[in-house]
Amino acid sequence: MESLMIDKTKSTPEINFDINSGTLWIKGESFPENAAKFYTPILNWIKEYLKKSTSEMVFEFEIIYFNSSTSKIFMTLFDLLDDEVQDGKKVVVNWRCDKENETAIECGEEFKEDLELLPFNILLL
Amino acid sequence: MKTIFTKEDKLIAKAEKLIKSNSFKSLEDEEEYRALLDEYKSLLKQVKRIIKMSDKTQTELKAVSEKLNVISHIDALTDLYNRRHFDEVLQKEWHSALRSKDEIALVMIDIDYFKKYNDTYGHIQGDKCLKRVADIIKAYAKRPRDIVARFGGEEFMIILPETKIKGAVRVGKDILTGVENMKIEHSASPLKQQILTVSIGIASISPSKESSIEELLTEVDKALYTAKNSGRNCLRPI
Repeated sequence: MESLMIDKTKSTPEINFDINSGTLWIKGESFPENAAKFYTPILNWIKEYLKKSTSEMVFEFEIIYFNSSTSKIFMTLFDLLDDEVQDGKKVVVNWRCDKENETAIECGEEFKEDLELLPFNILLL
Repeated sequence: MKTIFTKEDKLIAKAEKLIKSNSFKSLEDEEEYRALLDEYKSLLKQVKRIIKMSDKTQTELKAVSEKLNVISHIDALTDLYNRRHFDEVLQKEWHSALRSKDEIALVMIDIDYFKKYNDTYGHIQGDKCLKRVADIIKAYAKRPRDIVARFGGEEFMIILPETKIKGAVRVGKDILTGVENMKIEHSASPLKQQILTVSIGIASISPSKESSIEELLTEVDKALYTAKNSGRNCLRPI
């Protein structure tokens, strides 16, 4: 499997997953015109990777702004990761936000509340 | 309506009632129904969270947009309205005066020998001076609809709606004396008193279909030039 890299655009974040380090960065702003179209290949890639890999996977989210469609996608992803953890996989999510950005912090807390086992850390920068 | 999800809550209540009624044909059917209901509940919870997050973001964006709106109409140095706001308000007041057949007056104020002031005392002192003059102008044009704006570098403009030339001259005189009374030293001023002074042009018009905003602006500009050519530290109405 090859590493996944997608450059950021005006409305989509930078995606960078280095399979050697097992860290997936999602960085920037996310308000794609068609969130399903943008994120489906990424979700598929993650599912495929989870099937093949046994090592720990770390998700680093550094999203300054995201729209409602993106939050639905993130929830789908977190649900998926939550299930993976239940099945014994090692996955961690770091929700990184500026300590001044109250909205980003509160949104992180909203995501966290729905999860059962997935470690979800809110990191203030 | 206690929540925005009344319909969803009713649906869940109905489904739970059905489960309690034991009317399923088989245990498998009941279990499948229960699982579907749980799935529905968890998806509904997601929707509620998305709406909550979206509301939060929208509230924040609204506040930012309001702040930007204020900033985009204010001159940062003097705290007066900027040229953009002046143009917008003048347009509105012009049309309002056209309908009500009222007069509208403009007062244009220019600091005398400001370049010399800057050259002598430095730009930081020059900025402070602009701020003090701006404050004086604001203090004398204080009716709710009066608009004081920074028009250019050291030029200020007041829109006085429903005001005849006589009323505008009164405001102008107050400003002239107000600035003089501050007694800001201006050693490079060729004027005898060697203090900071302003020149003021005043024009008023009762807008008609034959007249235009540009005409009014030209008139007030001419009036200011007349004041400048009459030795400065004075006002000239047209």
